[in-house]
Amino acid sequence: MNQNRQDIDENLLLQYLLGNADDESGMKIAAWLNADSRNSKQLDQLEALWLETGRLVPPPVPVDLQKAWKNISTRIDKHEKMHASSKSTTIGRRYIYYAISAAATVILVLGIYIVMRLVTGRVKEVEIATNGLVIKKTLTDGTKILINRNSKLTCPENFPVGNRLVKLTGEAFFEVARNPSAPFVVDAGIAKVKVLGTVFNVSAYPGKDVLVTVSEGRVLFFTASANNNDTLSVILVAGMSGIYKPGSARPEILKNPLPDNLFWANRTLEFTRTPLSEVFKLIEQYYGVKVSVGNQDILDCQLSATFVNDPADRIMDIIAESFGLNVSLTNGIYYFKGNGCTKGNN
Amino acid sequence: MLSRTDFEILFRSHYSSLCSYANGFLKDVDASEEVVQEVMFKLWAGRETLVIESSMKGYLFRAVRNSCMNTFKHLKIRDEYKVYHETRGMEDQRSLEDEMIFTELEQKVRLAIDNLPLERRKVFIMSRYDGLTYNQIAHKLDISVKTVENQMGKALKSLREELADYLPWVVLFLFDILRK
Repeated sequence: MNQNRQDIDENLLLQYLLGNADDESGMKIAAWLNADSRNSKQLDQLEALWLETGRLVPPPVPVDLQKAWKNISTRIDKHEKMHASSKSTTIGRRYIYYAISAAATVILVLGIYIVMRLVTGRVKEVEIATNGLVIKKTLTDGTKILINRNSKLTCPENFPVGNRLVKLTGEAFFEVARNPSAPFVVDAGIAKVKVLGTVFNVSAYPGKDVLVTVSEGRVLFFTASANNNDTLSVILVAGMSGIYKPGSARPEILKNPLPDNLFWANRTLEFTRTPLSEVFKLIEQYYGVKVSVGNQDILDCQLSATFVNDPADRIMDIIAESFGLNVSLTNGIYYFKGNGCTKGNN
Repeated sequence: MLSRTDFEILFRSHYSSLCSYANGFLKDVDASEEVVQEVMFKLWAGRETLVIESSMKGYLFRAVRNSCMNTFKHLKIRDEYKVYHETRGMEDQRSLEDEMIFTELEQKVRLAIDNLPLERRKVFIMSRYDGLTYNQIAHKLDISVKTVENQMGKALKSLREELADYLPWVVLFLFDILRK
């Protein structure tokens, strides 16, 4: 830092008030305070501000008011339109219904069963089934879905107000358009995933474990137990995977997610301290190349890296660089030379 | 009956503090926004026959609180809530209205924070209320530490300037508390 007077800004003053400033800054501030009585008033105000803001209980949250208002006015417009078209003698009864539901307790989460019954009861549905091909589909709410081979996705032609429910058998990659007032729920039979707006993958082939991998944002991965109307859930955030084994009590966080979970959807390989022996196996499988090493110790090196849509050449270069190795390509075989790593020491 | 304009004013003036209130229970900003929007929507949908006995504001806070309770019930973390409830103890039982009536100064401080641009507000809230370091904030918001410092500095400056007329009063006696 230089010694011009601009050094003394609100940030430094705050650190000083919190006792985090070093001696040098402290002396500088002392000089600054002495130079002008307005300066000490500024510091007093800052201190008061810090104390006053700390008294706010519950603390403020960073909400986007513009967005929230836009959201709710769209919802109201839709509601009004629906209402106008059905204005008849039932109108009185409708309002009484609303009044009762608002005046009693306002229930947000209706219990997934009720939601599902409502949805499946009266809405025209669209079904997309794939066999040999991966299909890309954009839903009416802007959500993008990539449906893997041999899978089936069912959803209403238009989502009803307040919820978005789709059914999945097989595997699909979701890029959900964010809408806090209409949670997006993927019903994968024995387990379900609820989100507000995120990117994630669900794999739910019949008779197999249900696997959820999150690329962005956060999802609630849950199962609904029929006997006590309760849900058992885990929250997964970006980079995490969850698993639900048929017959088990609840979904769990997967400790070692597979590096290639998302490869089918967006050519992502995500390694977390994965030994190169496994890394090479996957690259050979997906890129149709061969890898060999001049020194077995190389295979013990543990790689932590994410590759998205990278060509094999680039991946190999990055691996070589990470561990100080040399790589050359001859006749379709990548050959790694160098010292490698000793076990447990990276 | 509530007009669209009245409703918008109501929404805009209470949305942020209702979300803050809900977040006190739910500890999840997204879920809190969801709850508040649902309550506001139900209010609009039922406006023709809704009878509100006390104040509109009281009704909104009560409805948000009830919604949060229902969310708890559903997620079966009632036990956690019970702990929360017990720790807050009598104070919580006393009167819901008491909780919602902020002092004039508190309202001014909240409003000043609400008026910060979104990113600046996020930085300030994370630093002041979530106790995160600048490094952690930079990481969470995917911006540089320099930007965090910058935004925090600007937030402090504009809050201080905006609230300048109210602040010096407090400092006199708070100073003593702080020095103890």
